[in-house]
Amino acid sequence: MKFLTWLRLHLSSPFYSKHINAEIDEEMRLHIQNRAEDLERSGLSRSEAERRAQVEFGGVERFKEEVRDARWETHVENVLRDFRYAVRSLAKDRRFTFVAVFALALGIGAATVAFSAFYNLLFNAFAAKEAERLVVLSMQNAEAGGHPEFDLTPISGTLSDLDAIRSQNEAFEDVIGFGRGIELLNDEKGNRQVYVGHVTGNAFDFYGVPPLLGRGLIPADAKPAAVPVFVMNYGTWMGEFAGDPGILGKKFLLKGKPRALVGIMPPRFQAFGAMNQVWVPITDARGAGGKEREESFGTVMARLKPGVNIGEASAELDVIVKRIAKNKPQEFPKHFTARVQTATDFMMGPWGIGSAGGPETEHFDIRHMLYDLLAGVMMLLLIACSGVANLLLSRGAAREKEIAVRTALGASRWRLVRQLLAESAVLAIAACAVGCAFAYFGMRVVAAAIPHKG
Amino acid sequence: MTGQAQLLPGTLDLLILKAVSLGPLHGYGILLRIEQISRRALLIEQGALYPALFRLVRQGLLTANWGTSDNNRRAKFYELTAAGRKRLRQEADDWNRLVAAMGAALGAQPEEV
Repeated sequence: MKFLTWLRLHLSSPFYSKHINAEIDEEMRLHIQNRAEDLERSGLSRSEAERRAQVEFGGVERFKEEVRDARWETHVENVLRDFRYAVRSLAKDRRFTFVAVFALALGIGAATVAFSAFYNLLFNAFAAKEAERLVVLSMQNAEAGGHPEFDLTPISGTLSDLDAIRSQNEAFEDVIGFGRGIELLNDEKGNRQVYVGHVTGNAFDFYGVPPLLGRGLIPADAKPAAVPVFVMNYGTWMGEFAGDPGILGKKFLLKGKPRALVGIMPPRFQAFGAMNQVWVPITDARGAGGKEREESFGTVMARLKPGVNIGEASAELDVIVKRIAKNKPQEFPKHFTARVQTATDFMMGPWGIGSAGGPETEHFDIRHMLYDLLAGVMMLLLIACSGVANLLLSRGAAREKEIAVRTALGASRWRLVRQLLAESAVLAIAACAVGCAFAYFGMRVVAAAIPHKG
Repeated sequence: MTGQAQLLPGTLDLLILKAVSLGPLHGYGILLRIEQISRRALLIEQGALYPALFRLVRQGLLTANWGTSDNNRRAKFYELTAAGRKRLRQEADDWNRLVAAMGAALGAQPEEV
């Protein structure tokens, strides 16, 4: 703020420039006076001395001009003048300006929308904390169909497997597991079928998204003696219970078992599988219920420690998983390698939300579709740019006369270039502004097309 | 005017710094001081002093304050700042190296080659 006030003072206050000018004037006058007196003392007549002093000094105006050029404010003033002129000359040619701005804005808007979608899907898909370090533990089956992407499946595991991975690795901060099912949720008003995410007790802490109401699941909920609880998503809460906060703490029957609702997650929270409506903890019944066969869940996710890369983590994981596989060979393919893939790659891959069919379909991988879309939109932007460049060229040809006049009046080449650059910059800025507006509405259209489940 | 050498571009700033380093001076005083210490061997465009002074003040190498001259006139006096002193030392060193090198090069004899 202080800087701005200062800048304005320097730029716009005629007082400031006048002040500088007056000072320099005074200095130069004093110099010439002193010189004249010295010359007079050396024997010249007063008028001759004054004339000589003036001649020796040189052109006062020229040096004042030089001082003006030494001030950077002068350059800013010139640039501002160029911009003012550019705006005026564009305002004169409204049709051209409208077409150019509209074409550019369309390109910019479309590119922004596509890139936003692209960014959110491929780089920022997860609301989780430190989402860029989330990985899905996977294995590459060396014997199956031979499709490298389709044969890369998530590793399923039991709680004991998870413990083994957790204790034997150096690469992961924490490991969670989850699976899903469709179950009946009953209360006195009726039955409904819901998608249920079964998650290990640490999953909600791991994900790090705070609940909208109440609490998320905590490790204590997974203890065998814990009170059975569950957490609901926003969409179901709004749709089935009209967003009534009073249902918090109420008991429901889920798959015939009474469970208390302890928390509501925020809108668009979607984790541990797609389209989940409620989440329940996977109870750790080991030790309590004897030696029954452990249930295994579909997906195991981990967060890499900072600085650990995919390759290192994969190498470690392969060793650990091969050790696990030795104890229960019937659950693993004969030849496989275990590795981690980023959560984003998993999501976009054939086993994530991108699955639009098996490997026999052309686009079973949503990533390729997104890249195609982005390339298309970039081409659109390029076309818009070249179109506007053409328009500018033809306008330049029509303006030859104006430029000739300005050159004749003493405008330097650099000055002319600056003027034209200023015009292009004004066009670009206007197009950016309009393009942002387009993008804003475009994003709303895209957002409206996203199903509001969740 | 005969026997005076034209200033090389860029050397006026160095001369001003040197002149001012010997004591605070106003514009005309700087001219006289340069003439004196260069034994009148340099041809100085007097008006060019002022854009140079303005620039040096802007760069923070000099400070300027209004005071009174010996003949009781209001005048702007220039003084060297710490940065100006440093710059003077640097540029004087550079200059001496250049002069030594040019002197050696131009003084070379056929038998030395």
